Order: sequence, then C-alpha cells, then structure tokens
Amino acid sequence: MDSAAPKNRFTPREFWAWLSEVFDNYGILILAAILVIYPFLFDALNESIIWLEDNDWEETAEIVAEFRGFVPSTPLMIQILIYTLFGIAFNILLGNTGMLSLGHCAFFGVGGYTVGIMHAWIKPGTYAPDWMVSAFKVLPLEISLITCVIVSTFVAWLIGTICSTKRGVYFAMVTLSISMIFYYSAQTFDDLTGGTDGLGGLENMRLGSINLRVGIMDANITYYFVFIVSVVFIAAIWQVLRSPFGHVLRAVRENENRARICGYNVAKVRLMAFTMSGAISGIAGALAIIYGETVPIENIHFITSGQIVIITLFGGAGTFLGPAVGSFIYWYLRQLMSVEFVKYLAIFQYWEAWVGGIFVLIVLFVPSGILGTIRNMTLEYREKKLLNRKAVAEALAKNAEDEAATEAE
Amino acid sequence: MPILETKNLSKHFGALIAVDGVDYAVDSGELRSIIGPNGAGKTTFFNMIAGDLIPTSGQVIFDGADVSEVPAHERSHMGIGRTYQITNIFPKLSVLENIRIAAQSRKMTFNLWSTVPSHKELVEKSDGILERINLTEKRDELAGTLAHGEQRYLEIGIALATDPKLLLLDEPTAGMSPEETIQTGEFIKSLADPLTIVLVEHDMEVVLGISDKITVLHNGAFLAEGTVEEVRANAEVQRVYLRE
Repeated sequence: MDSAAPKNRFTPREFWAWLSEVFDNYGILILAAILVIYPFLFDALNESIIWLEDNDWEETAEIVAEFRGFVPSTPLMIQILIYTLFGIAFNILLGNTGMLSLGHCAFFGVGGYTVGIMHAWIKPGTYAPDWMVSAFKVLPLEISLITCVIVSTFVAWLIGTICSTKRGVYFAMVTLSISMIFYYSAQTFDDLTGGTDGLGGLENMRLGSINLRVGIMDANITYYFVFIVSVVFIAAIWQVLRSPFGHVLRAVRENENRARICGYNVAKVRLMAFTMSGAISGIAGALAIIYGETVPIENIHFITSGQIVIITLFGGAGTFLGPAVGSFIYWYLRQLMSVEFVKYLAIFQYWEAWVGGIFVLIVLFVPSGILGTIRNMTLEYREKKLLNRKAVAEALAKNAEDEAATEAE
Repeated sequence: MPILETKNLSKHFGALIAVDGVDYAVDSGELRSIIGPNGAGKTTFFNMIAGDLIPTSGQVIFDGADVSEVPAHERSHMGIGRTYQITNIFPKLSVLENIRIAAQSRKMTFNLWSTVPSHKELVEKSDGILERINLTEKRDELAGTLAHGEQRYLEIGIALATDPKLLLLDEPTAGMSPEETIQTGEFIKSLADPLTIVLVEHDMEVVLGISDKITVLHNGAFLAEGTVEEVRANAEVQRVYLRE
C-alpha cells in the first residue's frame, strides 16, 4: 500500500502546507508584531544607510540603499493597510454573501469626499457659513470622520435598497452604473470637489492636537493612525463574520432559495451586508485621503472598483485575510515595477499590463487565490496525514493479529 | 378545524393554466398525499402553499390566516416547512451547519456580537435532529458529499429544524432504491402527528401504506379524494393513470 508507506521525502507541497499550518496558528500574531514595529524597522534601515555613509562605508551604504528599494516603505505600507481594510470590507459581499459589486468606488470616493470637502471648505473665506467656520478654527478630524461614517452608511444603505434585490450580472451592472453616476457628479460639481484636478488643500488634518502630516520621512504618525483604525474595523468585520449573522451570509451565498425557505428574509440580509460593506469602504476612502492629502477623482472612478476586485481575487475571496495578501502583492508589485525594475528594463513602466497579466494567470491557474490555494493545500495535507495515520494504525493492528495467530498455532 | 385550506386556488403562467381552482383542506395531525401524473400541477400547488409562488387567484389559508400573499420566509416562521423535488440543501456547508442554520432562523438573524458556538442549545437541537435522520456519523462532512438518499433525509432534517406545524414533502423518495423508499415511508409516518404532513408523489405505490387520505390532481384540477381503496376504485383515476 503506497499511502501507508512512511514519508521520508519533504516535498515542496508539504513544505508549503507545513508553513501555512504555522501561519494558521501564529500567523496573525507574527503579522501584527511586524506591523506594529514596521515604521521603526524602516527608519532603522534609513538610519543605517546614513550611519554607513558617515563612517566612510560608501560602498556598503550603496548596497543597502539598493536593497532599500525592494523594501516596502512606510507610506507604501499605509496604502497597503488602507486597501486591506477596503478589500476585507468588499469581501463581506464577494466572498461571504456571493455578491460581486463593481461599484465600491462610490463608497470609497464618497468617504473620501466627505472628509475632504469638510476640511477644504470649512475655513474662512469659503462658501461655508460663518457659524460653522467660527465653531471650528481648524476642523478636527474626529468630527469629519464621524460624519464620514454617517454619510457613507447612508449612501450604502440607499444604493443597497436599489440594487440588493438584483442578482449576479444584473447586480454587478447596477452597482457599476450607480457608481458611474457618482463619478460624473464629482466631475460636474467641480466647484465643490475640484473636478478632474482632484480636491487639494487638505494640509490641516488634526486629530486632537496631533497633526497627521505625511512626508517621506514623517509618515509614522499617519501609519499608526491608519493601522489602529484599520485593525479596529477589520476586527469588527471578523467578529461579524463569525457571528450567527455571518453564518446566515454564507447560507445565502450557498443557496439563497433554501435560506429563504428556512425563514430568512434574504433581501434584508443582503441589504445589511451591503450597507456594512459600503460603510466600511467609505472609512477606508477617508483614510486614503488623509494619507494622500488630496482627493484624486480616481478614487471614485471605476478603476478603484476594478482594483479592489483584483486585490480580493489575488489573495483569495474565500479567505478572511486574502485581501490583505492581495493588497500587499498588488501595491508591492506596482511599486517594484514602476520604480525598481524600470531601471533595468523600460518595459516595466507599463506596470498595469504586468499586473494584469499576473491577474489573468492567477484566475486561470489558482482560481481560489493565493491564500485560498495555500489553505486548500493545508486541508489536503492534513487529510492525507490523517489517512496515513489511520492506515498505519490498521496495518499495525493487522500485524499484531497475525502474530497472535501464529503464536496460537 | 383545518390547519391548511385552499379556496379556488389557481395559477396561470401566461396561457398555461397550471393549477385550476383547487379547493383543499388538511386537518391538524393528518398525513396526506397528493398524487397525479406528470404536469398535473402538484409542485405548482405546493409552491403556492409554501410561498415560492403567489397565486393568480384564490386563497391559501394557514392556521386561520390568509397567507396568499405572504412572502415565503414569513410563512416559514408561521410554521410551514418544505422540501423540494430536486434536493435543495447547502452543499458546501457541513451537515451539522445545514441543520443548525435552519434552527437558528427561529431565534436570530441579525445577531452580530455573539459567536456561533456560544449558542449551545442550537447545536444540541441540531444533534437531536441528526440522530432522528440517522446522520450523526456524518455530522462534520460537507453536505454535498453525502449520498443521494442521505441528502434527501438531510433536507427533511433542515425542514424539521424550523419547527414546522405543516411539513410539505415534494417527492421525498425521488431517485431512491425500492428498499430506501420503504424505509423513507416508515420514517415519514413516524413524523406525523402532531406534525401535519402533506406529500406529493408521482408514484402511487409509495403513498399507499402511509397516507390517511389521498388527493388526485389531473391537469391542474381536483380529480378525486379519499382513502387508498376509494381512490383505487375510482374510475376516473383509473382512466387517467391507465391512459398514461
């Protein structure tokens, strides 16, 4: 029996399975620890280069500087965190409820514009009424963020009531068209939104007395702010998905008709999921503009919706942390290609084509995404191990029986 | 007092008349069967009772209330449970989860802040049902990997988990072997009273032993009703079944 033979080879497949088993158990802790100290690690890298230069180790400094190009910078990590939150919120729908929304840029954009417009316009010398301006010498971020939560929840609920009764392709198309309405509105009302130039002038982002400014060397405060907000909301989503309601979402995804006959108001469940997903996407949009200090109109364009679909499928829609993996790969690849690889080969300036190509390969060959595939391998490996153990136990028992029989003779 | 009553119930799909003015009444605790040749409108009739379809005209009265236009999920809460002719389960969820999710619908939908394992009573209830449908051993397997007969039982289990007063079984023995069919018949009989059961069958033999009363539909209309012997002796029924 082949399967009963003890394995002394360690195949790559099994190695990955083993690695993912470790990751399963301690992954979140390892990841969280790295993320908490990440800005310090990156700063240390920067400082080591300066130190090397100061001490006349020019050549080593150059090598380390070259290496730094391949390490994601703190600002890039902020971007990755924001899109992780966005992706996980998006995945409430795609991975858990089975709804493919192509209109999530609307929420991402609305969240950003809400905060952006408040900070750009509530100041002296603008259209804002005097009482508002005098109430806030500088508008605190707390107020605009809370407003953003309310506005994006409302918008998500409104769009949800229109399209959550639609299914499949129709749902995707309706969400897409509604998001385009938002895009063209942002373009048309350019007095308010800055139109295609984007909305600038957001340098005064204060959380209490802390100024969240981002320069290349000054990103740490923003990093921690984005990190804490993302972690809080990701944890909230995680809880919701393991709650009884989360199980209802999966039931609706698996068999909507059966869920209805079981007594679930499917339309309401879908609306609730949609609202939650949209509201948290809005918060991610607000974080993105705090990081960027402007609201680019691309945030509300279909490109953003496409990006988040790609990010989610990269990592695996069937897994909770898939969008985190997807977000990292997407932004890291983009950065590598457009900044580093392009030094050697000019063709890498068209990074979209390369990322698109990789996306096609992933959809074709690992349709459950990177994390999804790793998880499947783990399950397969565990099952195999269990079967092996069973077979060995059976063989041993049979041996013992045989021996007993010979002895009796 | 009848637990379920239909008055002049009709369903038209365009020019096609699927169910044509059926008057029907079931008393609480009865085990009733509806038979009829293919296309007799049995499933359409069921769909109107369970809420999958809204009748073109006529009324469905359940437990004293007119439910003709009540959505399916609310009818489930009122106490109508059903199974389908083509097995309708959650294939990618575990067997236990299939039952548990149905049991959960009685208590909570929008509970966001607790965890599933903390609701022990749901798991206990589900385990009880798994024992009744004889699937305790397969509790952690994916429902889609079960054998056909086991999936049919699982679907009945899902319906039972919603604590129905009235259980509608659409061809529960479809695709089963003769031995399985006999077993299933026994099982269904054991469920009846206090549960009221109405089952639809294409095949007359299945329902012979277990039903209190048999109703025959033909071309969407009421043809005959009575005990097994009465229906068997009915000339109209013989004509319909023999001509087929």
